Amino acid sequence: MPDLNTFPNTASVEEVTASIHEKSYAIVHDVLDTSELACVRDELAPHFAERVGGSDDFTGHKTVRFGALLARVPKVREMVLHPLVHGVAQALLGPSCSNIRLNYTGVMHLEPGEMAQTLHRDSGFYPIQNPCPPLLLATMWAISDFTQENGGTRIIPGSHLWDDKRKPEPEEIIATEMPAGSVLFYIGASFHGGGANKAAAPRTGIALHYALAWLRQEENQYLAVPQDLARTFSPELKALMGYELSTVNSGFVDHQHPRDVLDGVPPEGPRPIGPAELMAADNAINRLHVDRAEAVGRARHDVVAPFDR
Amino acid sequence: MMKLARFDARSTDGDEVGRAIDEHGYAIVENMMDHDDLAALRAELEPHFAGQKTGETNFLGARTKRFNNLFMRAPTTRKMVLHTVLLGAADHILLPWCARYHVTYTGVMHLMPGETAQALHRDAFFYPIRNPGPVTQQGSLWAVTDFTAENGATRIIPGSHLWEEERQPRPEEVVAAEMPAGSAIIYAHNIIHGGGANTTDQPRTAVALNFSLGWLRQQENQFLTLPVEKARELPEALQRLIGYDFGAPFMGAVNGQNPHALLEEPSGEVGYRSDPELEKAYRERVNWLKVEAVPPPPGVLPTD
Repeated sequence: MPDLNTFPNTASVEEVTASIHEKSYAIVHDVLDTSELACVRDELAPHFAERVGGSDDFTGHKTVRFGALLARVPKVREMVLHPLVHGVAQALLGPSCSNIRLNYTGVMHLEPGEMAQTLHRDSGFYPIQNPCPPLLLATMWAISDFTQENGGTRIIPGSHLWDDKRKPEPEEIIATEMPAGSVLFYIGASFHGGGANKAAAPRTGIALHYALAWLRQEENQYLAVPQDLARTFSPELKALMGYELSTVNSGFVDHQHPRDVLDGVPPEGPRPIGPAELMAADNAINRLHVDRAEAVGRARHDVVAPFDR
Repeated sequence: MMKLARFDARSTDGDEVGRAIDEHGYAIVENMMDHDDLAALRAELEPHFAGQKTGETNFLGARTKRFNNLFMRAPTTRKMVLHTVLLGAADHILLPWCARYHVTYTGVMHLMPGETAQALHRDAFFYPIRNPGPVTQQGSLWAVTDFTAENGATRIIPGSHLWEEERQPRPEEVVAAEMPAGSAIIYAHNIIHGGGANTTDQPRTAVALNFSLGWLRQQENQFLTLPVEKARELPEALQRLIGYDFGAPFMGAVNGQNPHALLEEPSGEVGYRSDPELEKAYRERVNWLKVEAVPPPPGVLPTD
């Protein structure tokens, strides 16, 4: 097993971001301490009883999944704003958007006997060929230890730089190993998948994804989180989940700022909604120049690491 | 005056209109609404003009009244947005770029006498994709009053949807989209256009019903405008069209489910699953963009 690209929790946003750009991924240890982990586990426990599972080889036959974590798991409201994690998301995605937005929340709880998942790219539902500027940053939080044996996320370092034709080789796949409380970051275009769980105990992870705010969310946060609950969130959390404009004059509700609508602020007349800083941000971001377009399809590969056979 | 691409809704179809948009960037379609629907729409809109403030900038119009949320304020728009010619044109121009499209904006633009011309622009600043490129949005402006050169009919630059980003229109390339009430101009987002000046003594009223690619964020947040209890009042086709549906494989889910499930009786079916129709679209039909990030040009957004 190669050395994993691992950082202590004292690492800076800049060094973690630079490393992800190069290697597709980074692991940061001790993002959650023991008491925070205990809190998350307590909050998750009642939901496992619901047993919402996958339905096919891709979503998993022995994987318990559930989403809407901002509503169901209060600790997640802090996790998505963790200064290092949120800072890396902003640094990595910021050049292509005026705002970043929470794209997905979900528990992925692999029970013993689960098979390795098809390798895929999380940004694969945006029809943009690879390589491309980062569209999405995924974070996978280890709630249990992640090991090669229990299905720690499989990933192919450097694969976010590949074009869509290149197929992964089994020996290019590595297993994420990290103690509970760590976070795996990876660019959405990196090939990865859940591993086979050959251990006796489940492997529990929480996936929290960020994306460019002008893209549609994978998980609809406006519907997943009741408005009465969202209203109680901090301004930063409201903005991150999407009670914020994506550009000046986009993302509004009847020409009002979506946060004002949530908070019940009385309406004003039609004006450019969004402060001058947002317009400055809109004007400063990179543009996507389109060279060509063709129906190349979405890359998914049933390639299994030697250790998952 | 150059001859405009003009059709009659009673004798055309979405494909023909879509092909005209491919070529010219727009198509004018007359008789999209009959007399009764037009009268109903006017009656629904009328009470909302009173008390509406005008815009605070040139771009929004110092003498223009605007409001959104039309599916609630003007229920006739629920029928308009499902017009087979409008949807057929959207199928033609948007489906090469997405598995599904959705409503991105509904709004009234009511130009009062004395309004000056709006800056010419593309509806492109919501998504930082340079021209030429994919059509990310289909706009439609419905003439609630007649549109004339004098009362502020939308000015367009035919063919400009294919231009390089930097090319600026010359004055003689600008034409007014004149059309009788009940018509609509359907256009690709990247045609250069703008509201005209209203030099008459009567207002010019338009209803805009715009779609965007299902993987892009909506300009008007439909889920906050039409939360579950309001969305339940709409026909199912419209519920899906405003976004209570997947926009791409897995995209737009609520707890792994299609968001439309929130509007249905509980079926007892749970579990994360994709939609074979969307998977097929992504495998076979949708064009994938080969992109490169480039620095922004100076002063992209319309300013005053």
